[in-house]
Amino acid sequence: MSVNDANEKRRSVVVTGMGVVCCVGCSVEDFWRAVCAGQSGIRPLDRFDVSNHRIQKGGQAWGFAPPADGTDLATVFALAASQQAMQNAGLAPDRFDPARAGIVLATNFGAIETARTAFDQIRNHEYPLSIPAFRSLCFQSTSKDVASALSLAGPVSSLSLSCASGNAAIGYAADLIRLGRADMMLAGGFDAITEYAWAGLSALKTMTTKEIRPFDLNRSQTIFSEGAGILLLEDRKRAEARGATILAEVAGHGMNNNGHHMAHPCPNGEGTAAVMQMALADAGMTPNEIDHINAHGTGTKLNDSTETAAIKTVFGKRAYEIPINSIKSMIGHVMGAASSVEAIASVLTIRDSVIPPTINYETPDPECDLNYVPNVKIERKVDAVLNNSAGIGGCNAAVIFRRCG
Amino acid sequence: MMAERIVISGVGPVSAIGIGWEHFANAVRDGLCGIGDVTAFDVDGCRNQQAGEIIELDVDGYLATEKNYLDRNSELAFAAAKLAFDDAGFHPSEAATDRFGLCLGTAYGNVDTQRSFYDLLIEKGPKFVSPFLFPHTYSNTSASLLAIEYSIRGVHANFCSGSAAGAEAILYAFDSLRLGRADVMLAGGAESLSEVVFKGLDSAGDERIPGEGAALMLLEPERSAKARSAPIRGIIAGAGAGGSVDAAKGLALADAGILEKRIDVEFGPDQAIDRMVGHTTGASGALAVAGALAVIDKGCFALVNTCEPGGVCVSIVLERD
Repeated sequence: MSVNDANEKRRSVVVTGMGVVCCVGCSVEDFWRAVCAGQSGIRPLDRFDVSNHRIQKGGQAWGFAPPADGTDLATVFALAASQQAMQNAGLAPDRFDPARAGIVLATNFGAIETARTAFDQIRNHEYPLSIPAFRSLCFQSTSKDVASALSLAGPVSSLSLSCASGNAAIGYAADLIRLGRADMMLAGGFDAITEYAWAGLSALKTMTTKEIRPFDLNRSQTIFSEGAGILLLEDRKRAEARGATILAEVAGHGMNNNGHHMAHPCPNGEGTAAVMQMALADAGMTPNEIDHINAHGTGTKLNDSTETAAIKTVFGKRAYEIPINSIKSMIGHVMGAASSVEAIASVLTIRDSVIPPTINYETPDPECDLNYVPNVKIERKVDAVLNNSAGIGGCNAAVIFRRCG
Repeated sequence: MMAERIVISGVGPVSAIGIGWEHFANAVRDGLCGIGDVTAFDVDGCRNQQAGEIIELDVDGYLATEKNYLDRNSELAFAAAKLAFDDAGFHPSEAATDRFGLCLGTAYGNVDTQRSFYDLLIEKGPKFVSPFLFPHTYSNTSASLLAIEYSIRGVHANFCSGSAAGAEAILYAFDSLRLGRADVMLAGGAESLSEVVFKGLDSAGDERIPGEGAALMLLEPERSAKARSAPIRGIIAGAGAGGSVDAAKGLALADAGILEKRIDVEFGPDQAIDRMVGHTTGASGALAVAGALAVIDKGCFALVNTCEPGGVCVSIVLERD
């Protein structure tokens, strides 16, 4: 069958399993309980010495025991969240065709903590180089390691689109199913806090030493964190045939670039508005059908005001009625995994009719005058969620999840 | 409904055997080899001392605006983009920017800048690393810089799937056009020759000779290419991706609606292009597509198979009218 035929018959892609590792929990239910209760996972880092770093607080995966065998921590996050997603979906190794099952992972820094050894060796004129270190220079190494551990023999791919990575992985993986190249795909983002990433992100001066306070007048930048968020996507017919619990449909997605500046968003959020419109068009939905927006909401001055402007551009007067949250207020900014962890929250919002709050919200900003679900969760039936993300270099990605009727 | 054909209306190859379509295509037809002794860094002690290195690349000639700093990977991508636009007679400033997209593939991205940044971290400490260098360390830096340079605001993706990355970028650009998400796409791959990757491959006993290069191409519906009198280099008849060469090839042939016996030329990295330019990892699939377009005769089909072992395989069926 040709791709054109496949698209005309358009296979529906659904979420049947999810797995998460982050600073407020290393399982989906622990994570969900914490974010619905408004609990923060931001604390002083303790994995490496941060006394000589600009920023000392962040969102480490506190409950996660680092691997004793030297396996890269970021890769282990991706593997753990992937295993959870498979278990959650009830997919034992004998329950699927490996050749039709694949994975798309996305990251900012991948297994840099392992790869850095290769940089050390070059600097010290050592030869030969460590093979695991060399392998880790390519992000594909993590995708291949997870695929191998879970016996996935379909398409195994990697993307890197800065902090829009997780959503981009979900969108691309959904397309692989939609176009008939796979029947099930694990998809999402992963990243670990390492000295390398921490020094670089601190140098950009996008992090605060105070609280992360999205959409608040006194917001003073973001706080980075680590983990992985992985979704199991399946062709709906196959999921139904095996009696899977269907959590939501991946209704549509978009990924674009601001084409504006490496570090600053467009002045009026044009790129963010465009990516939301791409996702709506892909889903064949109108703005009126979106009940909730899980925002990128980093807590930086520029993101929150331009994202607000973009939401107004796309949703008009309805922008004021749609509950918008930023769970980054609790879990921090999980780098390449941010939007896939937020995708998991989006799906759980549909499942449980609960919208987690944006905590640390105190003072309204005239430029950010929408309903940000301040400080306390709200209970409301939600049929469709738009999950927004953006990153350095002007990358944006949005995914829409919809209740399956 | 007969879907409109998607054509490659311009190609920008940057390689050890030639820079720009004419040089590259002639070199491929003549079977030239651009592999020689490495000059970019010291290779004493390495088993292999050769690579498909691009010795003379004057990047300034390919930039629309002045740059303070570019990683080698970004330089190659910038050169390939400008060459592709010029070959296609395409003026990016005239495109509707939100319908104009970019898919890039690169296995190691800006790894040399990552290394420079890391060296600063070790030598000076975390408070004294360069905020200027850090944004150039991302895998998506080259794609982002191109998007900014040319206001490419539509579909945007950056693949890091090893040796399949460049072909996967072309595949997804092709899909994006067919799905109606974009009107014109710039797609392909870029990979620089970096000391750490070269020595890593050598340490791992990889027998392929490394290379560097980039190939970006402009993809669009046949009608818009013809309206601009672009020199159509080929038609993408079909494409597929899977976990094995057989799976990818089967899907690509089905997508093209042809049987394997109709294929006249197979021109993948392993079959041909790597012997001329070295193995260019994330660029290899895109350079293989460019190479296939150089050798395919009118009325014939070419098949490009690109595979990242244990990862993703991508097959692309090309046709010339």
